[in-house]
Amino acid sequence: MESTGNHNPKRQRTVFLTVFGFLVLLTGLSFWVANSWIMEDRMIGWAVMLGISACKAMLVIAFFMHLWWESSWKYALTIPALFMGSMLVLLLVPDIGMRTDHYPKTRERLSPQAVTVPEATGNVSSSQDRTKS
Amino acid sequence: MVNKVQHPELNHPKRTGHPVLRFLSTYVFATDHKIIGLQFLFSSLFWFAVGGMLAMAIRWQLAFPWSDMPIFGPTLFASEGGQIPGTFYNMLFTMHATIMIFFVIIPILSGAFGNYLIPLMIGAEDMAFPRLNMFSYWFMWPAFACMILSFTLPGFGPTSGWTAYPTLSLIAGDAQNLWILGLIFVGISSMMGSINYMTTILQMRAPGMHMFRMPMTVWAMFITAILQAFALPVLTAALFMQLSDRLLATGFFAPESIVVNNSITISGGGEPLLWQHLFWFYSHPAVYIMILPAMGMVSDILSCFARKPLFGYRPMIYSLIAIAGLGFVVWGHHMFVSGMNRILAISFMVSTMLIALPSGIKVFNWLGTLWGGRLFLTTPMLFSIGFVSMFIIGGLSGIVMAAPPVDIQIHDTYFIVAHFHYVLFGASVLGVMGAIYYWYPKMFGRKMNETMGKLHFILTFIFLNGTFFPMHFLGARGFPRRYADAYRFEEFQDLLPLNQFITLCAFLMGAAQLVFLINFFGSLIWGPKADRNPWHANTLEWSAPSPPPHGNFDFQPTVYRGPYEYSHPERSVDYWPQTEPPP
Amino acid sequence: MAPQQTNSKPSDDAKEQPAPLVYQRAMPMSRGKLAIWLFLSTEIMFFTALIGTYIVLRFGAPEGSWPTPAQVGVMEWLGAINTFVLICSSVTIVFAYESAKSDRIRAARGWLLVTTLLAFGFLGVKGIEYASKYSHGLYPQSPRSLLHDRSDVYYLSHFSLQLKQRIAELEDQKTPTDHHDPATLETLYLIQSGMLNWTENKVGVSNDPNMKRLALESFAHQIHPLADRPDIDKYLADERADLEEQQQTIAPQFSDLESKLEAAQKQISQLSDSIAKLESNRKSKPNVNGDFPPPTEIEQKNKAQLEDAEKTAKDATESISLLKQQMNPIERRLEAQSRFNQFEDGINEHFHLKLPMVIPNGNTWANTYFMLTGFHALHVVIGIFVFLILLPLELDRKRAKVMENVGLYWHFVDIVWIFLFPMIYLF
Repeated sequence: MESTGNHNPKRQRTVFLTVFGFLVLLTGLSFWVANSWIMEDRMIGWAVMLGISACKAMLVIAFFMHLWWESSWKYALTIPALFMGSMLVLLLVPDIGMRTDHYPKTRERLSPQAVTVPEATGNVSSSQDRTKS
Repeated sequence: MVNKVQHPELNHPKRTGHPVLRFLSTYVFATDHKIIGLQFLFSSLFWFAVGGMLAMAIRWQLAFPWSDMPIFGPTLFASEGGQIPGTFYNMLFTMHATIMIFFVIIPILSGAFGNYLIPLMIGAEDMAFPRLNMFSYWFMWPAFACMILSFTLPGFGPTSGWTAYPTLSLIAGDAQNLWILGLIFVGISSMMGSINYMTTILQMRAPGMHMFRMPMTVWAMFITAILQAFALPVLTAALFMQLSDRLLATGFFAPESIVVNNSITISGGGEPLLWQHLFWFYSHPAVYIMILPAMGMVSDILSCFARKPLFGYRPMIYSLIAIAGLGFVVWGHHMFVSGMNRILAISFMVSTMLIALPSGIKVFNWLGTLWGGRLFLTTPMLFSIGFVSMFIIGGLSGIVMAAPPVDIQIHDTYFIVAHFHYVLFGASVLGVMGAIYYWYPKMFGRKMNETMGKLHFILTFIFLNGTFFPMHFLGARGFPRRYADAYRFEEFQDLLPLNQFITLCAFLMGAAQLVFLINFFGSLIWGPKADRNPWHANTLEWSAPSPPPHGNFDFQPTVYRGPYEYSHPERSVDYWPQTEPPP
Repeated sequence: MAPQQTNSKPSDDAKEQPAPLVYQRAMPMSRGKLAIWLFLSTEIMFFTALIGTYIVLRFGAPEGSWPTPAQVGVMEWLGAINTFVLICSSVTIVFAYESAKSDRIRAARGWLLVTTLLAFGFLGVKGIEYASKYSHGLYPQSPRSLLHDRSDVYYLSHFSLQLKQRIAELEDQKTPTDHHDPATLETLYLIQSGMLNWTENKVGVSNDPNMKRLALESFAHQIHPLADRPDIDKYLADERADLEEQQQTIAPQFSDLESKLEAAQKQISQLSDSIAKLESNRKSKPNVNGDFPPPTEIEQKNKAQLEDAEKTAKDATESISLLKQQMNPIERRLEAQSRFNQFEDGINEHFHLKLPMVIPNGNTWANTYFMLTGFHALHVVIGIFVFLILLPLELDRKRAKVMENVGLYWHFVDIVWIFLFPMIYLF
């Protein structure tokens, strides 16, 4: 904040409005990505959208939170938190994020693949059932 | 020690004192860091007594299973003939751990000593945010209320262990809700405290007090505050999730469609292992939150009574930082038998073993400080030496357990109990005791009785080893922890005499604390008056009056050197206070 | 926590203190700002734990089993609007701070007011979303939410329990609900007999696991369809054809029996008439002893015939009631099918019923959705609280520092939403 003082307020305002424009644009972009061909491979679509979000967050942090104009303490405060946060999430992935890769049968969920039933069996069994009901 | 002292504070222009405050604003709505520190100290000592009683009850059950338990038996279970039920034993070990960790060691270290010492040692008149500091103590009271209330609920308290693993904790009684709430309040309190400490240490150091002129105590408190600030929010988030699992049946930690007692189905879909990860992400750094401040204080005490500069001041700081940093990536070693990913387990093993390096640096530096020093075996010094020796034992058994194959063998046996009691009681509590004896003159302006102090140390030291060392043997034999009656298994029946010996030592160790209590409270009244610097120490707090008034310093402290300039060859006295101007 | 930190200025008690000490700072900023930054770092960890939980639970779910926004009624455009609202509020609070810094008090207050209104707008949109989740029963509740991961017997028993409750409520009320297509008692009874009991019976009787599964799935599909399921449509159509065939085979039997019964009843009335006539004839002329003459042969024969006819009638009635027992569920089932099959959006949606429904991973979705948006909304509420405290104050150069700290907090709230928006609405 101390170092932002020597900026021209008018110029400052155009900077903020430009950043605002970019933020709106990027929001629209991620909305478009969600409904576009990029989502055909969902992983890629997710990565793109998270990348866009990261860009937006960087814009907010850099300009709205004045980090662009601050001295080097910004790294001391932000990088450890980011490191520890990503560490936590990354180390959760093998145990929780990949938990369904080796689920025992008893914990199996109904994924769409498991639901589909061969058509032939449906007919046969329904005629069997008729006699009982 | 040479008694000829140049009083640096007398050479500075005088600062007039602060206005005298009324009783309420001094002791209840206190914003003064010293009063808040004492509030933390006294409430922690109270909970120390409660937690100790619970430990005695645990030991009684282990030595004389299902016999009439004194005190608890006739008051609570008179109709059953004084015999405790198994669930009551579960409550005992749950609450013993919870109270000792969250209401004794963490608040007494960072709450009491952190509050009291940080501003004094860096030359500040108070914390950066005195009112926030007040709230950080006040937020302990809802937590106290939750704990006390939980004792009155059916089952006499939470029973799912201090780790509160789901799904056991999800189907436990209502006391578990209070337990969660209590911990959330403790978390908020610690958060406020740690932000306050970090800001104070960073922004409110006296002129000349560079970061690398700060005493080890302040450094340790600083690193501890960082640990708390970054690890605690994760526990708070996990606690909120467990609370909603219990109250709203959300099922973050409940597997899908589990059926309990053929009646309760939880709408799950989550993963019990997730709780363990989030919990230990906080609770392993919490282990360092419980030991680092003691390490810092012991470093100061050792250097002072060895009349020698601390060996390797900067390596000590770097090793603190390394322990804290590595401490964030080792939590998985608590979960080797949980069914976690094996490759992940190996990475946790490696990082755990790496922690032995900075810990080893610290131990060798303490020994290096003692080496060739002119040792004054005062009570604080004895406790500090006790700290170092107990930490070596506890630390070494920790490295042993870092290897998954060994850990799988001894997991949840008394070997684990022995290990962490060596670290938490043997090291942390001895360090706290040393710190109390050391800073008592500053806190209350009177000295404690040395003879009683030494008696207290010798009794505690002997009986603590008598209590916790044999537990290694129990654990190696596979004797399980958290069993109310392991003697039902034939192979453990011959361990009963050893358990009875442990219980005897534990009771004697508990009794030895009476010596401390008498000394502590007696010295408040009958202790001899202490002057500003009774130990001839260097750090800033000893330049302030004893006890320091509101506003701490009666002069503007300026720092000219590091905190460990003992026995400087060019000086006639063997200490050199940080505030004394150079000749 | 934010208000205390932003309000606790370093020079709080400075007036009473005669000689403030001199300090050196490690960081070139006020204590309040440093504390806010530290607080935000801890907040990063808090939201990392929450978002991390969401990520690992979400992406750990089997491929394709996480509910799509359409299945749980998440409206992407509402999320986009809220993102826009928060971005706007971020800009306005920056302007408020800049105005305060250059001592333009009125402008600062105006921008802060706009920020507050935008924050309320955000909460309003959030409220609309929550209300729609509530009205569809898509929320966690104790002891069991209405969402089930799969259609199994637990689902069926939970459904039965909830349906009984709903029926009991309506029976107590006696007044029909005033929806445009209300779920009347009759509808609920039809769901109970034509769908629930039918499926229960089918699952209990059938030996074929595939058959059981299809029965359960078609049931769940009719309550709350998730996607087009041709296999279930086919199954239902087959079942319907089968049942109609059965109905047609049973119907002639039914009319046979009825005509048989009718004939028997006719015979019974004729016979009993003639018997009564004969008897009265006989009884009108007693002999000398006062006794009646013994029944004639005809009379005895008639009586035997009557017994036979009565037996036939009884048999026929029994067969009819047996057939009716057989017919009734089939008829109810057919009625249910013809009534409910036309609802593309399912019975729950159509009648606003909030009965248990099957959405794989629906629970985990609801849990994480409400956890993430709830804690974020809580932060918005705290922000509004701080704004409302600041609004009446003179926002001049001296207060610019407070404004800056509040702004930092508000931007953090915005950043959290920037990440929540794609994760919740677009993934």
